[in-house]
Amino acid sequence: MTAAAVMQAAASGDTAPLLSVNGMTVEFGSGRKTFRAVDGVSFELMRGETLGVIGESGCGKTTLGRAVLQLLRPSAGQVLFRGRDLARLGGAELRGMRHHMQMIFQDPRSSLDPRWTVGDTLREPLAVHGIASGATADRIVDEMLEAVGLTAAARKRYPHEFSGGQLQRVAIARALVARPELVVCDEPTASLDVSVQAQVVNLLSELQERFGLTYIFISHDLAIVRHLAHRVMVMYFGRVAEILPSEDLARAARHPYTRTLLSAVRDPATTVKRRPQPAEATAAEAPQLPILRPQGCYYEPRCTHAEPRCGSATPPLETMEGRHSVACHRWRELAREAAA
Amino acid sequence: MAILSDPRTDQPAKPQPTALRRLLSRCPPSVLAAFVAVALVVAVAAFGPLLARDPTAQDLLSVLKPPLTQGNAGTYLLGTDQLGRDLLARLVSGMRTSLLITFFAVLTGGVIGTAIGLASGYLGGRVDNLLMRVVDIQLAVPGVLLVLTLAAVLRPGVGTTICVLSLIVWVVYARVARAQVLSLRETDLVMAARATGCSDARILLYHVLPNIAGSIWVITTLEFAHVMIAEAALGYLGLGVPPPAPTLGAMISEGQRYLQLGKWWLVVMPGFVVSLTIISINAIGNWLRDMLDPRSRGRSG
Repeated sequence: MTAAAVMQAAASGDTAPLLSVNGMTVEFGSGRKTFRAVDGVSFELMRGETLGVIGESGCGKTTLGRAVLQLLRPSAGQVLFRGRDLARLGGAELRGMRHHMQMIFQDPRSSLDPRWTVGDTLREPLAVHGIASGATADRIVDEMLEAVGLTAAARKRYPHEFSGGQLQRVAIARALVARPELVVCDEPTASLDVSVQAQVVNLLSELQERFGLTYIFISHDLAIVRHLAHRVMVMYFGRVAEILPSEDLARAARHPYTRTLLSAVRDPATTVKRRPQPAEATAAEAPQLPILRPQGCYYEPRCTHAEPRCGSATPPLETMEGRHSVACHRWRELAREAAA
Repeated sequence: MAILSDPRTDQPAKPQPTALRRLLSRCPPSVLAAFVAVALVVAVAAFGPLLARDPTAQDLLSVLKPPLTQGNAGTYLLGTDQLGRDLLARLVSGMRTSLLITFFAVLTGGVIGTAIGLASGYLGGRVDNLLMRVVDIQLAVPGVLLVLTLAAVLRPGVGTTICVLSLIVWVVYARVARAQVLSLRETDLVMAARATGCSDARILLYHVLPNIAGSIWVITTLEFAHVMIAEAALGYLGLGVPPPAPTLGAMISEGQRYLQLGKWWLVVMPGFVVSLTIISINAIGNWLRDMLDPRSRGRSG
C-alpha cells in the first residue's frame, strides 16, 4: 500500500486507526529517582501503514516499541488496539492479543532460543495461539520459511548454523507465522552487514504488501526509515519532537533536532545541502540530563534557535498541516525563515 | 544462500539411529569409560547383593584377613573386616544403600530446589525475598550441623537419611537456578517468548529450564559427590543407616582404625568404589553439559 493510498483511506474515514496511542508514559525506578523513558507519546497508526521511529541511542525508541506491545507496562496513557486498551489488559487476555501483534528484535542471535530448531521456534506461536498443530503446522512453517526466502530444509537447523541475515529472516518468519496485524520492528537491521540490510528491508516491505502488515519500524538509520516508512516520528529524550510524512522529511521538517539529524546523514541522495553552519557546533555538545528540568523543551540546551521560553515551558505537539505535527515553540518563525 | 545446496539435506532420508546410540557414538573414550564404570557400579549395586554372601555373617576365626584368604565360608575375595565379615558382600550391599540414598537425596533436593529457584528468580519481588531469606537462613546454619541435629532427633533409617541429605542439596539448586533465571529474565530470549504470547509457565519450562540445564547438570554431578560424602559422614558418626547394615561411609570410617595396623583393604576397597563413582559421574556431567548446548556440539553427526 502506498502512502497516498493510506492517506486516502484515512481521509475517506472508512478505516479507524488500527493502533492509537494516547499520552503513553513509561517510567523506570520510583520516587525521586524516577526516569521517564517515554513521556506522553501519542500517535495513530492506520492499517497497512509504516511508522518509522527515529532518534539517537537512549531516546526511548525501543522502550516505546516494547511499551506498545506491553512487554514493558506503561505507567500512564492508553494503547488502543483492535478496540481494546492494551494497557489495561493482563494475563490470558493480553496473551490472546499477542496473536495479532508481534515483534522483530534487533539481534536474532539473542532472541531466538539456541536450543530450539528453527522449525520448533516457528511452530511455537502456532501452538501457543492454538492455530495449528502437526502436519498443518509443518505446512504453515514451510510456507512461512519460503516467504522469507529460506528453504524448508532450514526447519531442522539450529540458530547457530545460520548467518546473521538468514537468522534475521528466521526471526521475521517467527514474528509473522501467526499472521499478526501489527509488527514492531526494533532496529531489525542494526546487527546486520550493510549489504544484508537492504535485503532485509526489501523483504520487510515485500511482506508488508503480501500480508497487509502494519509496522512500527524503530531505527536510528534515517536512510532506511525514509525508504520504508510512510510517516516518521522523531523522538528526543522520550518525547515526540516531530511527526511527518517521510516524503516531506527533507523539505518540510521544522524541528531543529530533525534538521540536525538530516544534516548528519552522509547520504548523497539527501536533498538537504550540507553547508557549513557554525551554529551546528553546539549541537554536538553532550546534552544535559533533562531529568533535572522537566519543564521546558529537552532540546533547548543543544538548540541553536533556543529562546528564554524554551527553557521554561514544554512545547506542545502542534499540528502544522494535515499529518505533520511538531513540538517546538518557534516552528512558525522557523517555517517563515525557511520559506524566505 | 548456503542452505539451498547442502548435501546433507539433499540426500534421501536414511534410517535414523536412536537418539541414545547417536549420543553414545559421539562421546570420547574417557566418557565411554566413565559410562562403563557407572554402569558397572550400578549393576553391582543392583544385582551384587543377590549373589554375594550375607554381609552380616561373621567368621570370627578369620578376622581382618587380607584379600583372597581362605576361610570357613570359602574364599574371601576382598578379605574380611574386624568381625570376620566378608568385605565383598559388605561392599556390594553398602554400594546399594549408599547409591540409593544419594540418588534419591539429590533427586528430591534437586527437583524442589530448582523449582523454588525458578519461581523465585522469575517472579521476583516478595516471593523472591521470602524464598531467598529462607535460603540465607539455611546457609547460615552449617549444613552438617543441621543434618546431624535432625539425624539425631529423627528415627534413623534410609528415609530419614534421604530427607536430611536433600535438605543440604536444595539450597544449592535454588541459588544456582535463581541466579541463572535472573540473568536470563531480562534477555531478548525471554522477551521474545513473551512477545510471541507464551505463558510464564511455558517460558520457564520450555525456554528458561533448558537453557539453565547445563548448570543444573554440572551441580548435580558436584552435589552427587557432595551428598555421597555427607552420607559417608553420617555413617561415620553412626547417624546414618544404623548398623549392622553396611554403607560405604561407615565402612571407610570403621576401616580407618585398622589402617595403622596395615589392614589397608578395609579402607581402600570402599574408597576405590566411592572415588570411581564420583570421578565417573563428574566426567559424564561435564560431557553432558557440552552435549546439551547445541552451540558447542560438533556440526557433523
